[in-house]
Amino acid sequence: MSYRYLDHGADIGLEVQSDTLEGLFAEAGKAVFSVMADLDSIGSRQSVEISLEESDMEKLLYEWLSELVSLSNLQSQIYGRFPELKIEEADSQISLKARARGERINPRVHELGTEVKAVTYQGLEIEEEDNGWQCRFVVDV
Amino acid sequence: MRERNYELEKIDDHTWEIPKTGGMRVPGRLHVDEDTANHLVDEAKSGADWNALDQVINVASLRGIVKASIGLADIHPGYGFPIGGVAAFDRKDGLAVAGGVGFDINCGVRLLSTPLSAVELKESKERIANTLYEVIPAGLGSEGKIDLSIKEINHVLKEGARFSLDRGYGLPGDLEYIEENGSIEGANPEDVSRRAKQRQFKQIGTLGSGNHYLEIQEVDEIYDPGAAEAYGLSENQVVISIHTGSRALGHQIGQDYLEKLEDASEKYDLPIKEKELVSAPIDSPEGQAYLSAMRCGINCAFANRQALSGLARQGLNTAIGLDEKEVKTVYEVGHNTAKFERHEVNGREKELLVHRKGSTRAFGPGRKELPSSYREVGGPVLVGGTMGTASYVLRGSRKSLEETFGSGIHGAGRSMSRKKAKSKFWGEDVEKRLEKDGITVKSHSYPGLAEEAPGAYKDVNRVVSSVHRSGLTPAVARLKPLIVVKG
Repeated sequence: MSYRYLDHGADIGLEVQSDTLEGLFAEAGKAVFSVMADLDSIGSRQSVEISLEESDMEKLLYEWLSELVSLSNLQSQIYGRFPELKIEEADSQISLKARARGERINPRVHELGTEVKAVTYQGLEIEEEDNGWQCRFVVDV
Repeated sequence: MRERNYELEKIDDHTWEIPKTGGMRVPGRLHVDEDTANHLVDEAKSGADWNALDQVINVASLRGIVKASIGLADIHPGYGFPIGGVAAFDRKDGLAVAGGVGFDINCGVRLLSTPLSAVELKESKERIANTLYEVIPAGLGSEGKIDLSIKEINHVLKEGARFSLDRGYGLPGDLEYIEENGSIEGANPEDVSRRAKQRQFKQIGTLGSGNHYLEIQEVDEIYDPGAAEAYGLSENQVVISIHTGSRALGHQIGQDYLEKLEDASEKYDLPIKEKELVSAPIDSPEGQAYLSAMRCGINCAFANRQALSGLARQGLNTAIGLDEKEVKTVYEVGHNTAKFERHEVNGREKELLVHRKGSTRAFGPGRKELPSSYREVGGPVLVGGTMGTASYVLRGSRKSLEETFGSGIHGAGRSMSRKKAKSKFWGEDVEKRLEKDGITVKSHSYPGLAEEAPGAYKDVNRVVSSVHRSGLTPAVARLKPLIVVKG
């Protein structure tokens, strides 16, 4: 599992890889929060539950990341771990259940970066490769 | 997309046309210099799947667009619309396009003047910088001093700047010098989701992060003495610029309506050229709901900048005892909006929905929307620079009214990705180098400072010089930063 930053005109492009689809979603979540803070400085005392349903995988990724950004802002928390993440497909619907663990933002303790305004659809794609999964997306900062 | 014709027709040294081909309903018009025109064409021809020229062409294909899909001198790729993009739609059969406004609804600039000169400020500079850093909530996780309930947020969304004024932030005289007098009509809070409102509970009076800032600046050059006098600006004067927007509420509205307008695009059979170029007919329930929510975002940004203006005044009062009444609003204008306006098209006046994405309203002389004291010279166009270079005050002209629906540039635009900037610059070094140049920087994030390093931006002087020479938005004054507060 890994993520890296891509060169991008005005905002931040991210590329994420993982062996599994669940791992890909978890790593993509981490990638987004890595823009906002040094994740090594983030504990995991608090958590929120997320449950989503979409008709296609890319839309699900968009919704998942958008929901994380929105909840992070609402709760003033940053999340760095996503245990119990499950993705299931049934009847042309894909559902995601996950718990995001993190802690309340504290500028005195955490090394903070830049606020993410929104996840965008620009260049957003998920690909299944021989050795796992990869996705790319851009966040508006 | 690759079969598109990217040959531009030169109209004059500052204007290029993308001829109407394929599905385009109007031509594209680029108000850029030759270098920028060539750069845009090269980028599109290289097959970059994200480029501004394709976005101008996509916008030109939207139903009801009038006259031209416009790109200004600071144009670069955005989400659906290019940034530095302008498009006006016929009131009757045109569209409301969320990508034409973007996620940071009514992001904009407030400019305030002070009676101080740069020399007078010098000895108390550090004290002012420290005080402003204390009183201006900025950066990730910062919270405003106004804690709001849902009911109060609903007032913010209807009342705009007046809400903050009634809470004791700023002066009544401010309102006349804000677009729409700080409150746009047709904003119904019911069209905004509960989540969007909840995200704003503690965000009124916060700066945010990224390219947002509060700067204490010096008017270091005047180009148009007449207009400068009308705006109350003089050489060596100390002024305050605040660049921020509608914060989380605006971001959430942008997110919420992307999905709603995707459904509407399908319902009304409007082709989706790019995922973020979704829309709805202006008069459809979906279009009306988006415009109403977007106006709530506009009012939220007005309230935010009004609160920050109040805090800046309080900060200067605490630091050096400056009377708050002596700090006056020169102007406040947004650069991510869609507004109904009347413009002349083919010799006839029409009501249009003008989208400005990363573009400042630049009304020339005579427009009734301007404060009466600016009506003769044209409205101020506030252009944000980088913390190491300069910001500018330009003015709207007859030419901008005729050619760009009264629109001008909004900033310099980046030349280097954030990733590259972070690997090339260190926040601490940026801070030290600026200090050497006489600019005191107070930032909540060193990585953020590196991303915003002046070297990561295009030369704002060049962009301004281009729009000055073309006569679209002539320069009035240059503002050099002295103190920078960033998220």
